[in-house]
Amino acid sequence: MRWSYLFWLVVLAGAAATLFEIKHEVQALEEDLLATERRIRTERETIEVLRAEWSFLNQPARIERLAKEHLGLGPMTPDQIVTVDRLPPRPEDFQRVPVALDELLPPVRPEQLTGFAATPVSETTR
Amino acid sequence: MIGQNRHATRVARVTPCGRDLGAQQGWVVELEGQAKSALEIGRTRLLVTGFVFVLAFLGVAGRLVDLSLFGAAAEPARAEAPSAAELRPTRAAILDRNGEILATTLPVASVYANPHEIRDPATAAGRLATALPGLDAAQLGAKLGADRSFVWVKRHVSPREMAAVNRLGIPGVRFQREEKRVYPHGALVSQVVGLTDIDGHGIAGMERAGDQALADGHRPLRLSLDLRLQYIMAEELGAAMETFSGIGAAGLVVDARNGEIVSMVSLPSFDPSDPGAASEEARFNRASLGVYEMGSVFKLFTAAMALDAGTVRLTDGYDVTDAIRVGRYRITDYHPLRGTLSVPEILMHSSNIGTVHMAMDAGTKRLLAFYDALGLTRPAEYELPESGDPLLPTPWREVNTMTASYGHGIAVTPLQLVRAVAAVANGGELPSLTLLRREPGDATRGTRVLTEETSRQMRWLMRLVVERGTGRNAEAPGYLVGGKTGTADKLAPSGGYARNKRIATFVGAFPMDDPQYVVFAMVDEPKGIKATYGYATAGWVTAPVVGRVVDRIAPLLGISPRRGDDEMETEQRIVPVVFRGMEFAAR
Repeated sequence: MRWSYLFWLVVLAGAAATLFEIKHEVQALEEDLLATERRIRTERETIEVLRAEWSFLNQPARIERLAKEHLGLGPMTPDQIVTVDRLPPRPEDFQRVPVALDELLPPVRPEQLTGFAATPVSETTR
Repeated sequence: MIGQNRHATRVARVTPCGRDLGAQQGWVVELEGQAKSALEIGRTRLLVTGFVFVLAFLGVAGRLVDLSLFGAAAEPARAEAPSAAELRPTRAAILDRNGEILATTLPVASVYANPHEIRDPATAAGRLATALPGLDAAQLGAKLGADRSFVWVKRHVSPREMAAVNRLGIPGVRFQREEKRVYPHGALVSQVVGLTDIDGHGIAGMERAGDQALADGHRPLRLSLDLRLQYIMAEELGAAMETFSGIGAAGLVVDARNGEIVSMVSLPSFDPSDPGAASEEARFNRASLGVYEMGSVFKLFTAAMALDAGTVRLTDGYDVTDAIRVGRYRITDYHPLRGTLSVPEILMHSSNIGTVHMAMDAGTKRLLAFYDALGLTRPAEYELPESGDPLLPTPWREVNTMTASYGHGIAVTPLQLVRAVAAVANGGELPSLTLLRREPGDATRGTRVLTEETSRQMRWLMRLVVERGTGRNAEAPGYLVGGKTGTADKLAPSGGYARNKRIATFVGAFPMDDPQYVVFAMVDEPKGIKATYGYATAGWVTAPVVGRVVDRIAPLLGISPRRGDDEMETEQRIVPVVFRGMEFAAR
């Protein structure tokens, strides 16, 4: 009889202690959470401010001035735009046997050709 | 209660079994009469109370089981603080089509003070003035010395200023969190983006048009505007306006297919961060609210209408030697020519007389119906509340048909004009305008107003004007610009037209083999300069603006230049079969 009282007393004390421990922990976590949320909020606000600042610094007039001052860049002219199929062949391609001729000649293995790179034809021209 | 009625009876001290009950326990208390009934009542009450308590505890136990075993889902798992998302700036941002911020709401701090807590107002004011540039120390000192408990020191300070004030550590000086609408690109987009009032309600431009969505939405409003194009247009227009001492200017770039407005400029503009300082003139959106007689640009519509109706063919021509007299009017040409001009030549040389003949051959009814179909008779419908009503003569007489055919006596907004030109150039479908970005997929089909064939012919005619006609200065090599100049005399306050006040307009599209964008430029009251031999006509004032704008924006829009053989081929493709390799004289 006495032993069982003692046992329950110990269990009770243990349960109470655990409860307080957990409660304390939860409180600490909740404080943490609030602090984190507050931090997220301030970070978000800072991001908003920095985004506005970024947009402000990206004013086309400013970018143009900076590009002129530091990069020597100007608006692109049509002469500077060329499509790939209009490009002249590369100097190293000059030595290569033209495709049409290639067909007339007896078949040779690629490594027998002079100046023929290991890369396939389609990759060098495109 | 157990008082005088108590009877104590001595009973045997030993139980019948012989167990000794001890000194006091041989006594049994017996109660009678009133005392007994009182005890009974007490016992009943105790029972009832006990029962109630049992019920209450059962309730608690039941609830405990309910919460711990079944209730977990119904209740939030944790005590929730207002989440970060809910505390975001209230009014959503306005972005351009590439996501550049045009307007956003930022939290800002305002500095206030409680003068009662400030011991030495003069020193405090002096120190605050060092941290907050632009404050007058003496004035602030007087404010801080006042017998009040609240004065604003400075509203809306920057984070840097806030840190500086914090560092001073003056007791009684505090911060108030506020929200402020910020426009990073200022005057560049102020006409379109608009303004909010002090409470954050939109009062002009997109701020007003999208007020609902902006106020409750966390999603930013994405406009069709492209900031880079906006800048280029504003810069070129501003330069032209300055060179020719104009009083105002307007510019538009509109997607010819889906009606997206990618640039809308109205000069002079205003700084949205200080709207109070803006004049009425600066706030007025010339591109969409102002109505103007557009002049010869309207010849495009006359020609398109006549060609579409079949009352004239490309190869037909009219004698433009004699001026046309109607009542007290006399219609002449700006550059008088003699003989017969073909339809392409009429447009190239911008002949009023030829155009009037063309319009009269087609008739008033057809012309009016066409204007109606092009949306020139109603205000343009799009997001902004600022959309001007066109001015048409009422009643419409025959002479109005004549003058309207070359753009006089009918006043429309630049936006209406651009939309109509888009329809003429894009294959004959009238697009619906929008300032909101359209996703590539949801391009709405416009209503058909011209046949494909007429539109193709018109494209060639527009190209001709730039290639060999009055719009030569609009040429941007490689981009096949086509368009039409328009120089209209402004109405004089005294009635009739003022000779020295005009509006120079150029509306163009590019590239003409497959028009993607319509570009519009207008300068109000340009004055001739030496470099243009005193001319202030559209060909000198606004055509170069469009040429330069196209030259600069085409690479940004991903339109590749037609070069070399390609250009020749494309040119050939535009030219109608009957004219290939020929001159354009009427036959």
